[in-house]
Order: sequence, then structure tokens, then C-alpha cells
Amino acid sequence: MKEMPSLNFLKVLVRSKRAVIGIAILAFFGLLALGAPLITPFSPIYSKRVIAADLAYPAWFRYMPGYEKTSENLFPIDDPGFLYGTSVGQWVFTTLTPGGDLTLRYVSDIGRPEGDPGCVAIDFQRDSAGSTEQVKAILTKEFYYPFEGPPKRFRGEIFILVEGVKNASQWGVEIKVFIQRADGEPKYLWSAKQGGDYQSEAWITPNVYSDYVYPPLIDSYSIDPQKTTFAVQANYKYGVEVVFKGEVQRASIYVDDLDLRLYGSCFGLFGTDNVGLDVFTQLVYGTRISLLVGVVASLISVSLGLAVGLFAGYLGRVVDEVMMRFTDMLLVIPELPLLLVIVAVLGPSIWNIIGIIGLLGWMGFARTVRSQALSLKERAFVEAAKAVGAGKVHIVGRHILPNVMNLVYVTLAMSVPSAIMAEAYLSFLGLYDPFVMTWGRMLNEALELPGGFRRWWWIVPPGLSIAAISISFILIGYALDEILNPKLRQRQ
Amino acid sequence: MGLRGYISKRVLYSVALTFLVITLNFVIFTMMPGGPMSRLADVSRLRTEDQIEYQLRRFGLLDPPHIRYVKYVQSMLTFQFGYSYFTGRLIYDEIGSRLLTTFALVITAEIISIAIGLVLGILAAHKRGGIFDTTSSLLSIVGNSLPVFWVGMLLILIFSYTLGWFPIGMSYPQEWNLPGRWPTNPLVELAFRLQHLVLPATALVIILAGSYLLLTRASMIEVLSEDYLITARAKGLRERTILFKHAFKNASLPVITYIAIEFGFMLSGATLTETVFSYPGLGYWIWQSIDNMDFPAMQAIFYLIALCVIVANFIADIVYGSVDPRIKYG
Repeated sequence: MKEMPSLNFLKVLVRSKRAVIGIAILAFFGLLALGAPLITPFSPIYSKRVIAADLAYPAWFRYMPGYEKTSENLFPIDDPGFLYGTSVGQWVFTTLTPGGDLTLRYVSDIGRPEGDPGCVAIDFQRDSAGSTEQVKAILTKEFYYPFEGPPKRFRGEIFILVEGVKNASQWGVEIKVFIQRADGEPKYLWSAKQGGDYQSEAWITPNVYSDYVYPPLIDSYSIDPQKTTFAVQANYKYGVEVVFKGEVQRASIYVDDLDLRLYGSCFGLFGTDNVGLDVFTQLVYGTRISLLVGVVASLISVSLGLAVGLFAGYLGRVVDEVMMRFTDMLLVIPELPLLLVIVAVLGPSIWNIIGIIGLLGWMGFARTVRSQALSLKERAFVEAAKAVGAGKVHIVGRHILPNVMNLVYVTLAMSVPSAIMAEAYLSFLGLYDPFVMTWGRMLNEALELPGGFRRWWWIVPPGLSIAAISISFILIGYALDEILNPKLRQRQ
Repeated sequence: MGLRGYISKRVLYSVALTFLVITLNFVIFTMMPGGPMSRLADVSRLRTEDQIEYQLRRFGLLDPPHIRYVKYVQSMLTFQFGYSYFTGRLIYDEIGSRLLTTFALVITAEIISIAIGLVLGILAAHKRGGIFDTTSSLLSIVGNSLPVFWVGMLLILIFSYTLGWFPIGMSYPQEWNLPGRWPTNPLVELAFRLQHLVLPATALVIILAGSYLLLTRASMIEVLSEDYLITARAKGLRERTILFKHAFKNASLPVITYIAIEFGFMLSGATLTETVFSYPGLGYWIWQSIDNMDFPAMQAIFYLIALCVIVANFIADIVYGSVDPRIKYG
């Protein structure tokens, strides 16, 4: 048998309507899997970077009746890390108590550790040595909040480095971060005092582990659980206020990563899950895992089945009897519980899962190959090869194997869905690799969250994808079967 | 070889299978990375060497493997599964009620699936190539490709949360557990239990009915072209009689074997369905044991499920052998 003329073969395949549908669906998922990083910029599993609020509705809910009071993500500050000198222009610098010389300066070579270089410095120098009045400087950015509903969560960020207050008394400098509605009082979110022995040599930032009086982390979870800060559509100011006490003569305050992030109650195509991860991203990356598991596991099980079937079928006698009895027995054992037990014991890493699914799926195909090999063995061309003196390996490899290749193609296509399904079952029951996101795991997380079922935009896409990808392989498998095993065609 | 010989051969085969399952179970748990104690130590917070050694001795894990294997086989054959790591109760006690609950679900779903699959399959084969045939075949393929737990989730979303027709989960109302609330009228109890059964059974039927339909259809199509049916038509028998009596009798054989094979699948499907519906059967328990890393319970459940499947296959073999005179015993 010659190698398959692949172009012709595709032409025949495309003639079948079912195959075309199957290939179209598969191509769609293939593109999703290959282009995942291009399609979505986010990460499918939990990382430190917050993408959005938890349990957000899909973004298009904003246009549905009853969901008008929702909001989307809003990041009002451009270039919060001051990478470019031009971004200082968006900030308004005001000095409220003119008692000294205050200037705002862009610094291009200093930046917070682990961040980009660039920050702004507020330089202070007292006019006359005698003056002991407090001097205040404010750096703000004004922005419009366009949504009718409050953000689900907001988070401010700031990094500060204070210089030159070492010889002042305690708390020579006070720094406060605030939000202010255009017509209202400032609402202070965080403050820090620096000076004397308390002047830090390093950058300081609001953080979870400190024990300041003010909320240690600028996060709406702790400072604004009632979500009243952004209650109306209006102009808001976000900024930092610096107060220099009387004894300070000369100081510099470097400010970096001055950021405010408003996470809306709506996000992305399918909303977010309970830790604020984008469901659409999870779906896209889940495609990779499903295809990987499906294809690799079915390759393993088909090659195993092929080997066992050829061996048993061609060698016959005792080998055949023993191998087939064993195969029959394995066929009877219910697959899913066995899979569950093995994966639970060995640990659910993705390669474990693929390997175990592959190793448990070969029995059916081995039986088919064996029966084919049994009948091929009696055919004239095998007799002829034997007569010429061909060895067993040669006959199996050159004469029998090519004749069962049609079956191999069909079975490969047909066994992908069951492997995908098996992986989905495992993930759904909680046996998933913590480092990868799969469709089954998405559904598991929805199941484990009280009321997660109600979020149909979260549970429908992964289930539908599992079904669609399975159906695509089944359709292709049927079409291949009709083309490669034409005896079936008349029966239909 | 007569029927008796056939049966004894099947019995031997089933016994061998049971041993294979027990051995597999033993091997799997011996393969556990770090040994069985590493997980137990995690679970019960054992820290000191003394405690670990005490536990190893208590569970007989210090014996050489072959002695452990013999003891293991003994305990499995006598259903002495030991204690659950998690609840600390005898696994044997935990299993009883759950087995019945699972059977109630599986058997209901299986009967409905078979009924739907047979009737629609016969009709599809009868009007082969027609609209009914193509749509029902397509729907069967789709139904087969749906993840059963996902179907369950959608059913709950639609019929419990949105429409409020059926309870969300469990096998009976939870307030019955309060003192004095258990219904005295068994009919009332049955009605409530049935109400709780509807959704999980529906989920299983959606997935399963299709495969019975496709199988019945295929096997009917084979039979419908045979000569004796032409004779039946020539005699002027009614179409319905021909289909359901003459043709189906012969087409039913592959279906019977399939029922047994499906039984294993059914129990697997039940694992997922029960998890979704918090339906307190064996399947839900296996999920809880995975969650708690309760290995003795998992072992016991796997063994029992495999045992059920072995018995079902044995029964199918016997039925098959005695129904079809064409089968040579052996």
C-alpha cells in the first residue's frame, strides 16, 4: 500500500458535510489554543496581578435591562510609574501654604525597586531660616467617573522615598493619599509619617503586613466596604498631600507608581470567577489543555492497542489467549472509578493525568486490531510473503500494519473525545493540576462556590466547549470511517 | 459443553476478574508516592516517629508485602474494609444505605433510558433516512458528547433555581433530619424521594438514552433486511407487529449485552451526577473521599463498583446464553 495522497484525501473528506462541520469546529478551537496569548493578555490561573474584581458580570450585561447600575474597569492614571517625563503633565501640583520654595521635578533614573525607572520628586527648601510654619503641597489628578454604579472594588498604590528629614524631629514629614469628589471633602485613604529616626532609608508603600493607624492597604475591601466613595457620576481627584513640619529645612520626597485602579462590577466576555480571573481567558487556555490531553492520551492508547492487537493477532496461540483474556478483564472494570483512584493516589499532575488516561484506553482498539490481524494473516499476500521467506517482524510491519492504518486513523479521531471527557471528569471532581486551568476545573470551581450555578455565563461556555470539541472529533471520525472503510457506506 | 459447563466457566471467569480487581486495588495503593503512611500522617497530623510506627503496626503495614496481600484479599472478600480515615466509622456501615440510594438512581435512569432508546431506535430504523431518523441520531450523538455533570448543572439552574420546580439536591428534604419531622406516611416519603430523584435521573437519561437509541437502530437495520420479515409482510401482518414482535426479538440481543456494559458506565456517570446534586449515594461519597484523601473509603468504593459491574456482566452472559439458541456454550 502506497502512502496516502493527502491532498486527494482531504478533498474526499471535505465532500462530507459532517466532516466539514467537524473540521470547522476543530479549526476554531485550534486557533484559540494556538493564539491564546494573542487573544487575551491575562493569565488563566491566579497570579499576584489583579485583573478585575471577583465575580464580575460579563461586560455586555451593562446594556441589558436591570443591570444599568454596573461599572467597568477604569484606570484613570496613565503611566503611573512615571516612565516618561511627559506623563507628569497630567498631575496638578499646588502649594497650599506658601512658606517655602516647593518644586516638582521629574527624575528619570530613580524608581522603586522591581519597577521601571522614573519618578517625580517634590523638593522643598525653606525661604528663611526663621519661619516655622507648616508647608503643604498637593499632587492631584482629576478624572471623570462615568458609571452609574460604584466599582466593585478599587485599589490605590503609591511608593515613596523620603530624603533629608533625618535631622528633623519625629514625623517631620507627613504624606497622605486621598480621593476627593469635585464638590466634597477629601477622603484620606492612607498616611505615613517620616522623620528623624523614623525616616526609612528604603521606599515605603501601603502594605498588608504593616500596622499603621490608617488602613494599611489602599483597598476598598478595607476602607470602603459600603462602596460610597464612587457613588455618583462626577469628577474626582486622586492624589497625594505632603506636609512639611516647621523644623524641616530642606527635603525631597520621591513618588513613584502613584496609581488608582477601579475594578468594575462588569468585566470581559464572560465575567470573572471567585478570585477575579477572567473566565474568557480560562476558556481560551482550557482549549490548550483539552486538545493536549485528548491528542496525547489517544495517541498513547491507540499505539498501545495497536501493539497489543498486532502481537496477539499475529502470534496467536497462548500469547493471544493470555493477552485477550487480560484485555477482556480490563474492559470490564469501570474506567472512571479506576481513573479516580489511580489519579488520587499518584497525584493529579497534568502529565500523570494524560499518561493514566492513555494507559487505560487501549483495550477496545486492541480487540479490533487483533480480529483484523487474524483475518489478514490468512490472506494471500501474507502467504506469499511467507513463501518468499519474510520474517515475522517484516510481515507485521510491512503487510499487516499498513492494512490496519485506516482503522488507526478512525480510532484516533474517535478516542480523542473520551480522553477529553475523562480529563473533564477528573478536573470536575477536583483532581486537577493546580498549575493549569481546564474546562472541568472551571466547572468544579463554579460547583464549589455557593450559588455558583446561577452564573450561567460562567458555567455554560466550558461545558459547551467540551461538548463541541467532542462532537467535532466524532463527526470527523464518522466521515473518516465512511471514506476509509467503504463497506459501511452502503449500510448507513 | 452444556449450559451448566457454560455457567461454571463464566463463574470462574468472574472470580478471576474479582481477584484482578482486588490485586489492582492493592497494587495502586502500594504505588502511592511516599507510602501509605505519608498521607495518613498528613490527615491525622501525626508527627513523631513513635506515633507513626504505632500506626504502621496498627494497620499492619510493617508486614512483608505478600502477607499484607493475603490479609488484604481476605478483608476484601469478607467486606471488612476497616475504618474511614475521615469519619472514623466502619466503612461497611457507611456503605449500606448509600448503595441503595445509588441503585435507586441508577436503575430508574437505566430503565427510562432503555425504554426511550428502544422505542425511538425502532422507529428511527423503520423510517431510515427520514427526518425523524436523522434528527434523533444527531441528538443521540450530541447527548453522548455532553458532560453529564454539566447537564446536571444546567438542569439545576433551569428547573431548581429559575423555575423552582424541583429541589436543588440531596435525596430527601433536609428538615426531616430534625427530631420528629420524618414523615409517618411512607407514600409521602416516597413522593418526596421521587421528587428529589427526577433531576439527577433526567441528567443520566439525557446522556444515556442516545446510545441505546443508536444501538437499537443499528441492530434493527441489520434484522429488517432479513428474509423472514419479508415473509411476515407477505402474510399481511400489521407493521407494528412486524417491528415490535418479529424484528425486535432478534435485534434485542446486542442490546441486552450492552445493558450490562453500560451498567459500569452508569455507575461512573452516577459518581458525577451525584456530586452535582449532592445526592448521597456511593458516587457522592467517592467525591467526598477524594476531597478528604480518605484512601480506605476510596478503595472500598472502587472495589464495590467493580464488583457490581462484574455481577452485571455475569448476569448478562447467562441471560445471553440462555436467550439465544445460536450461541455455542464455550
